[in-house]
Amino acid sequence: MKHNNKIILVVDDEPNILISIEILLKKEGFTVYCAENGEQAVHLFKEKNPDVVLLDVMMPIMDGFATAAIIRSLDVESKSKIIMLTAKGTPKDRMTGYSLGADEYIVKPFENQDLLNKINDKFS
Amino acid sequence: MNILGIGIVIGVYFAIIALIAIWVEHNEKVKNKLINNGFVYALTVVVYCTAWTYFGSIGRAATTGIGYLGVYLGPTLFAPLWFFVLKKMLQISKQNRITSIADFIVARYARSTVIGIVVSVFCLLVVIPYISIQIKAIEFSIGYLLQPFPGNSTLNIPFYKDPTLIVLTFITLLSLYLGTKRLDPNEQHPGLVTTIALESIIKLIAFLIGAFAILYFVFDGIQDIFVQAKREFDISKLVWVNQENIDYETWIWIIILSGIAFLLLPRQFHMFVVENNDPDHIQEASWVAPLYLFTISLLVIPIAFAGKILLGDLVEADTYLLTIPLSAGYNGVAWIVFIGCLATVSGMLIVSLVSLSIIISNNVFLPLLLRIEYQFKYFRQDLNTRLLQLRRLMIFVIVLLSYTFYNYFTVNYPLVSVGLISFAGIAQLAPAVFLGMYWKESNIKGALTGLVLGILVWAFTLPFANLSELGIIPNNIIKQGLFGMSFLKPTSLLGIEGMSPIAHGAFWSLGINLFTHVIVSLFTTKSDLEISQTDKFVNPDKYSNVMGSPGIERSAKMKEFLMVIKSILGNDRLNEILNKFKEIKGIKKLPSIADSEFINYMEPYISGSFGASTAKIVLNYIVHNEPVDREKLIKLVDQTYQISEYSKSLESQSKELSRQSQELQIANKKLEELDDLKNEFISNVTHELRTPLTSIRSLSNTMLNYELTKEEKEKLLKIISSESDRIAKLVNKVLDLRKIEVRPEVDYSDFSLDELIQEVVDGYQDMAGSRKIKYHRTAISIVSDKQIIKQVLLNLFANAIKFTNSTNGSIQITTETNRNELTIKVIDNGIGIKKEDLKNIFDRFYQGDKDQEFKQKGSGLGLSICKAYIELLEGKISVESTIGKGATFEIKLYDVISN
Repeated sequence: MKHNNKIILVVDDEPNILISIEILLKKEGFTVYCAENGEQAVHLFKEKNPDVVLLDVMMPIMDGFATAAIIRSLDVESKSKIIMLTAKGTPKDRMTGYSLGADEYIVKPFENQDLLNKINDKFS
Repeated sequence: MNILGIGIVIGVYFAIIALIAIWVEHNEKVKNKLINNGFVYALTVVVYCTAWTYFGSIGRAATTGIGYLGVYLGPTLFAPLWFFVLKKMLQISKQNRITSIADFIVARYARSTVIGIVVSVFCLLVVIPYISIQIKAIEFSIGYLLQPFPGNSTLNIPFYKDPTLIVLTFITLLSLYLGTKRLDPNEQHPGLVTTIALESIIKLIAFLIGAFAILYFVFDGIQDIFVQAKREFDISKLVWVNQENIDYETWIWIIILSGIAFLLLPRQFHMFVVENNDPDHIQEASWVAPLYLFTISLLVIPIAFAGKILLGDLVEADTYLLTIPLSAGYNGVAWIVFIGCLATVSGMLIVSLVSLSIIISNNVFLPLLLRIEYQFKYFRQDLNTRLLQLRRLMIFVIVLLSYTFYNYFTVNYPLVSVGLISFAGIAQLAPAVFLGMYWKESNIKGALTGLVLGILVWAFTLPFANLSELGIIPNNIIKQGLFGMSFLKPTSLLGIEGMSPIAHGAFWSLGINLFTHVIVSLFTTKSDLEISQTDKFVNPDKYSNVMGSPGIERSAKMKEFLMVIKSILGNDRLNEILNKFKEIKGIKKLPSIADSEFINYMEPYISGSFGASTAKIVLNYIVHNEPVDREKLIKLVDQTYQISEYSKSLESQSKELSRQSQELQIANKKLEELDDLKNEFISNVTHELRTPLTSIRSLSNTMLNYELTKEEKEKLLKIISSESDRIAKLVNKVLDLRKIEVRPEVDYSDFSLDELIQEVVDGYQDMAGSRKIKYHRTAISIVSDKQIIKQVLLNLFANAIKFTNSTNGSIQITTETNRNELTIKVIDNGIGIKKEDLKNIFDRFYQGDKDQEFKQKGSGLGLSICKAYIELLEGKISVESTIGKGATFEIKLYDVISN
């Protein structure tokens, strides 16, 4: 598989969305870790050091923005790419995301290819 | 019958009238009801019908046929004009606090004391003979009752036994009570109004009883009278106008004069204008008064014929209404007619006395008195009391004058046309009044010239000619003319012959009055005050919220000003008025200088109680008039109209604007709220839709593009299917909410609540798993919407399951009834709700705090739907909760329990 050495962390509180993304990325050959909330995500990030983080914005306990901010503070050299996934696509939300260190923004429901393109950008 | 009997009847009659008047004066509720009634108003203005109507028109009908009709036709034909003329008169009078016909003229013409005295004295002179014939009516009625038919109408008894004097005494006392009990600033007297309305009713009923007795007891109906009359005399002469009895010219003059007199006689003006409380009462007056006059006049001719047939010249034709029943032995009817006569005469006298006393005291004595007193800088603090005493004195004096006049003239001479002569006299006021209301150029010089000349011509052509013909004064002037000049004969001025005296007198006096008024007005100028006053009369509309005399700058030292005003209004009333002023202006202390505005404010109060003429004297004494720039004044008067119109329209516009902007603000706020809600709703719905769509879209894409194992495919399809269900549910809930928002019909039925709860509990048994469900079934039947209640309970139950632990969770449902109140509680021991969330929990899409630990998936619509449903049933839903310990949802329904 072309991508088997690349690690992707998916964070979403919706189990079904996690499953959908996980299966897609696995089919593409990525190594995928899933987190259901921000805390788990931070923990996994430290442990696995993923290349790309797919981060849902609206989550309980710690939302996507807060999570992104923590990840960025851990990843000082900006090695990882953070892609925000959100069901709210207002420009304001985008700005918040970018200002907190997000690299990309994807609005749910997304096109599979779109998501893959944005991930692959990281590796080209 | 004897004097004692008559005395008792008179005493009882006046006692009853007085009691009613006193009762009304002391009963605020009745008082207000009566004076605010258009029909009462209409009944007071028919005080027009005097003994001259009650007895006299029958006499006139017997001699001149339908000539008598003129005095009824006049008011009737002029009635449509009341809506314009009388309405304007009312408006002017209320704005300027006019209290009599004389005051009206004085206020219009620069508040001149001279014109006030002329008008007042003239009114007195015109009315006294008129009052004297009322006394005569009483006297001969009593005479006939005492010395039955065919007796002598004059009594030979000493004056102290004269029942007429008893009547006059009662009338005087009533007038004193009704008119001068206290000083009303608007000269309104509810007791007087009631008494007059009551007496008008008595008068009509008595007349009708007398008439019917004559027509149907003495005769066999109107036809019988006409058949008999035809045999006895030529009735054709009496039922149509012809030269032998009355000519068209005279007829037309009578109509004009009576139309004018109906409004301008002091007593008529008093009832029509001064006592009026609502201009809309003209509506009732305009048909009730003519109908009243018509009813009386309709029966006059048959009675006159009956009298001619039965009594002919044996008695005076004026007495037929009384003498026919007497001669036919209907004594009871005669007594009723006599009571009617008492009502007629006392009504006329009371109003005349009260109005004349106001006229004379306000326009003659008070101005003269104040002028003299101010000359000597003499202020007395009790002008109020003095004015009342003066009024009382005036009433006595007028009664005495009338009685004296009666004793010297009326008894001895048949003064048949006193009524019409009085009418022609009062008509002399018409040019001053009506030109004053409608013609801007009319001024004091014109009005005074017209009045004086008119009065002189009237006096010469009517009373004087009348007296000469009777031989009371040498009649050589009649024959040879004044100073021997034949063109100055009182009955044919300038040699014009062939007119009846009344037509001739009215034509010349009114003609000269009007002509000189117009000519002199055109060629003379007005004073400043007059310009200002004129405008108030000609254009009253623009002064509806302007007080005093705009355009004239005045000032006075406040201390001096108040001292003098206090002597006039009295301390209490002054304070009351001053407090009102402070309130209007929003000030606490009065300025040390009384400026135009303040003086303008005070002015109407002074003229209200004491007349325009007095007000001028008072103000002139203390107030310093700034020199007036005439051009400016004239301009101002012209502008006032535009300004006041403009400001009126501005005021209404700004009112309208502020109302609209308020409405807009409210609407905007609502819209904003609605908009927020809508945005939130859309944002939430899209979020809720996007989440499942994301999985569906991504998974289906994956399934299309990648090789998948059978297990994988199955797993993915399951997710797609469950997420599709989620979308379907959400759509249904949104639709539910819409349904509630468009207010569905509630489908009421009588059902068993416990059965329903059991159904819900059973339905969730699987989902509840090992959670404990407690429900003590107690039979309750309720009348409500079964589907709604079920829906709500399902929702609450689902929530309870959602938020409780699957292992140790417990859910309890209780029902409780208390009188008409049903309480259903759904209690769980779940995670509970945060305090700050409690208030929002029923809002749409509210799902608790974002970082809530146990975030559960839902549309966020469930509780808002529950709330909407329960509110639809006019019930209440609420929640109590302690975080970590569970939540209790409580539904309260009212008046639903059916067992």
